[in-house]
Amino acid sequence: MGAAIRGKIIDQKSKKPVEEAVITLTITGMTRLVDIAQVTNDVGAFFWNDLTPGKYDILIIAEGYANRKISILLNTNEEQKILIEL
Amino acid sequence: MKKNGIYEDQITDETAVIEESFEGTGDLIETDEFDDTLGEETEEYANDYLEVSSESSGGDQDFEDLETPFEGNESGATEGSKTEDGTLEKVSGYDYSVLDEQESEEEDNDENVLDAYYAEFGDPTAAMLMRSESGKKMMQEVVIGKDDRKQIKGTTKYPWRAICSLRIKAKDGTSWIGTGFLIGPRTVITAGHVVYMHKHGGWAKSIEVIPGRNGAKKPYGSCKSSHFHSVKGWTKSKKRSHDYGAIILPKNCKYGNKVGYFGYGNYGFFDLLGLKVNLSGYPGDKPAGTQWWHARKIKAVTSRTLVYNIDTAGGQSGSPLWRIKNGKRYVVGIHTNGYSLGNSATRITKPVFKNLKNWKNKYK
Repeated sequence: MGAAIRGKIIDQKSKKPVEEAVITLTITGMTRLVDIAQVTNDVGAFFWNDLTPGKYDILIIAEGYANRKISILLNTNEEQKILIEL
Repeated sequence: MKKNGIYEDQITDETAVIEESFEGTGDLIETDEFDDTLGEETEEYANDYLEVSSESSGGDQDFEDLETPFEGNESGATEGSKTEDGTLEKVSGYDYSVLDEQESEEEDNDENVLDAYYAEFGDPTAAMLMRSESGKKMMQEVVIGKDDRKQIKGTTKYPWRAICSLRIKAKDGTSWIGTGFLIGPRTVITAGHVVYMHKHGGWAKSIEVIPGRNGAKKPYGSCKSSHFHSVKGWTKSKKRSHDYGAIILPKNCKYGNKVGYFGYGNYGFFDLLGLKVNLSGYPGDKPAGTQWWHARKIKAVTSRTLVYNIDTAGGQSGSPLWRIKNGKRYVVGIHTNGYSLGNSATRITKPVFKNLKNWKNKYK
């Protein structure tokens, strides 16, 4: 039942990974979410599993970049891969 | 008796169960045990309704379920000011009138969502109470409002310096941010899902604790720990109502003696419902490492959780939810969740209080 997001954040121009970007998730509707945020690793990657299916807003904040917000829809048992350029 | 690395002492307390700990090497350490299951809900529920008042007992120390705070040996000490009604911190620029003004605006809507909340937690006594006339009247007094968080810039003052930014390394290689708060020289309390992440390898690999962090500034440095505690209700059963834990700092890192620590208390239903409370932590939707405070009333109280419209974001798990009483700071809940029906904390119930006290006293 759990869904997952596997993401990577890169610099739009250099295409290099963005480390230490902070990712917060919010979900639309009546679903409780733990208030923890993830930080990208040295290759700009993050992985969030055990998520309830639904529509999520992903906020990315990284030093030196404008904040970015994207929305994705996660289905049951789906692992969605996303590449985000800042 | 030792079972799978966990020592299970003879249970003498009716409310006894098993807490769990992790010292980072894979070995579980011996712990004293306290109850934290729902099995004794009836007895605990009765305790939840006990009135708690230091005023009537002649002093906070006289009440067994109130652990006193310490403001630390660091100069600068506390801001020393609080709001007029006494339970909130005084933070410049914050419009305290919103706490009362918005009570009537969302009255009907809130009543419905709170019904849903109580139903979800299966708390029949609370649900029954909230359907009564007196319950409805109480509920009308606890509606909340908009995002008006304030940044705390003086993080080297108490109590802000006793709040810690956390950087968590999970076993699966992922990195996370959270919040914790000191309750003793070496004991940092946080959410259970900060120290034990079920889908990311279980116990965290390590957590860096940064008290009073302010952006890139770490006024007291930082310490890493791999020694954690939680309860089985979280690590084994993943019950939201048991989502709390502790980080034990190394012996050479007694931050609490320097920056001070929070007190905490097991307050009753009527003490908590409608109480104006503070919450401060390190949200991920604000500039990295900055501390943000907000205040609202507690709008719902279940046997094990507190619900409020204090604005939070990912990264604030483990933040203290506290009140001021007689000039002292007492945590009443540990923030854990964001939710459209209201954000929520694990309530400091009697068994939670016992575990916190044990984790505090055992590591000095």
